[in-house]
Amino acid sequence: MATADDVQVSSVTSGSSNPLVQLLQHQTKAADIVKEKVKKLTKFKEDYEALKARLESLPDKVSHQVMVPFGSLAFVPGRVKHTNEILCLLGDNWFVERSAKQAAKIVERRIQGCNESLKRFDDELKLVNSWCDQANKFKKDLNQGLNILETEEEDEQWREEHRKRVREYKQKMAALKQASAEESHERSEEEELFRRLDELEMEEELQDELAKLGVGNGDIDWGDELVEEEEEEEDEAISVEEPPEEEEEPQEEENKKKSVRWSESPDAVKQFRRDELILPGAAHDGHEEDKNQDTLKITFKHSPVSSSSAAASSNKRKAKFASFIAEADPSSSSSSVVSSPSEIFRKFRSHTTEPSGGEPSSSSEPKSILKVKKSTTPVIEIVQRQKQKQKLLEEEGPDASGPAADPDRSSLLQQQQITAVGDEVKERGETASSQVGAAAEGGGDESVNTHRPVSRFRAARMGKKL
Amino acid sequence: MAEGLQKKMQQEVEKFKAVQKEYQSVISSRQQLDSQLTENNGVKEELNLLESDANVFKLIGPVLVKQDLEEAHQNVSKRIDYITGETKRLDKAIEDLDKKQDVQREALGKLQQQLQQAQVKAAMKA
Repeated sequence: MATADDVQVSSVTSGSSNPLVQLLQHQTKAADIVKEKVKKLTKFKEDYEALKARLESLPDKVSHQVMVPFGSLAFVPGRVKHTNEILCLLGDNWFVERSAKQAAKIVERRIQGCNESLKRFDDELKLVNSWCDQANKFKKDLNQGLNILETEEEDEQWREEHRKRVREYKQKMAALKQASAEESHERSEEEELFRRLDELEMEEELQDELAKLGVGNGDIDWGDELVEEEEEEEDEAISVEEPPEEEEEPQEEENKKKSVRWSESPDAVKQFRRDELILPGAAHDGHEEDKNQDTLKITFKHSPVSSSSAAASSNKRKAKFASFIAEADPSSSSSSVVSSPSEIFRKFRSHTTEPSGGEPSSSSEPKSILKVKKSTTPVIEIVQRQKQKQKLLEEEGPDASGPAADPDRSSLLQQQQITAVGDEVKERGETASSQVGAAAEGGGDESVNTHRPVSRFRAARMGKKL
Repeated sequence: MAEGLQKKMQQEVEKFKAVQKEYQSVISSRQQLDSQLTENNGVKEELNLLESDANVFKLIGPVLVKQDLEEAHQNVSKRIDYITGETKRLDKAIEDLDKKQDVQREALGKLQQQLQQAQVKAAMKA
């Protein structure tokens, strides 16, 4: 019956419901199995009940007159004799001789066992039936169309409620936005003020630093050079200035050591600097560079080992100087001639490294920042002479003659060459820098490779003067 | 190619069927043992309830042999132990056979896929 229904259903419904049909079939099969078991057990129970009744009635008589089955088709009248001796099968081919009463008890126990099994089967059947019911429900839904969808009325109701809720939400958001907009408006004004204050602070700091630098600059040169430019920019500065700035600047300038006035050069320089701050797009960069160079010329600065010609020129002189020392005493541990700070350092280093067995490395020695060493030997005289000669040479022009024209220079050059070779073991850095210095100088005067190296500052100055 | 595959398929199917049969036999013997166990447990309970002078008989073939109660007790206990051991062994065998079956099924599935691809190719060519 269940299978027939299923078959009808499967013909009606689409292919997607086949698994559902199969499920139903399985469930019904399980249910049938359980039902059959239940039937069997109930039958057993009935039999046991009957047996029990027989056992109770059997010992009433000493012997019973019965029709005994004879084969499969006949009965024979006979007697049941030992009415109280009953062989009971316990299971697994085990028998026990019992009286009727005892046998009845055994039977009772068996009936109880049956009842328990029946209970279990009933529970199983219930479970299977519930599965069947659910599957049937699904089938009905499929047949009638899914009831998951809302009806139209429900849908409209929901839509109205949704509209209401959306309206409320939008109103809330609008209110929040207004409140936040007002706050941000106030905040933005405040932020602008803070920004302006920060800018002014920055300018003050910069001016402080410049003042410090300005204090170090004792030269009048750059002041003279830049007066014209500054006068031009004064107007711009004033125009760009804002009221709070004017108040701040005079106060702060009074504090500095240098006298600062609006019209004079140092003040103008300051203004100039400020202009640069305010008008970053203006074409003041070239002047700034010159100024920097001029200012940096005085400040204390380590030049890089291999790139600066200033160091190279000083190193060359140092090398030459060192050659004198080296010839006297290569290790220079005990020589008393300490004529330059580097000499001291070298001695100290050799002093410390020799006991430890280290090698004097040229890279650890700092380069002298001075172009001219404070030495009392004739090296300086030579150097100064060389300087003058170099100046003369350069002023004459790029067509200066070679080393043959100047015997002094040639001798010095040879010495330099010798020194270069001699110092190679000692101080690599110096020779390298001297070589590089020569190369750098070659940029300014390429036709003559054996010119003495000129610092780029000197060269720049030369170029400017020209 | 397709014919070779088909032959392979048949072999694999036979193997699978053999494994399945074995599996089912093992399962059925397991069920038998299970019922015997319950039976012997019942017998044990009844023997416990018997008085000491009750006559116990064992049916060996067509012969009912009188047994001592104590002896009957011990026999039944031994039988129960034996049955439990057997059930454990069979359980293991069932697990192994189950795994074998799965392996076989996978192999069959692969072969089926290959067959289908071969058939498709043949259809394309034709």
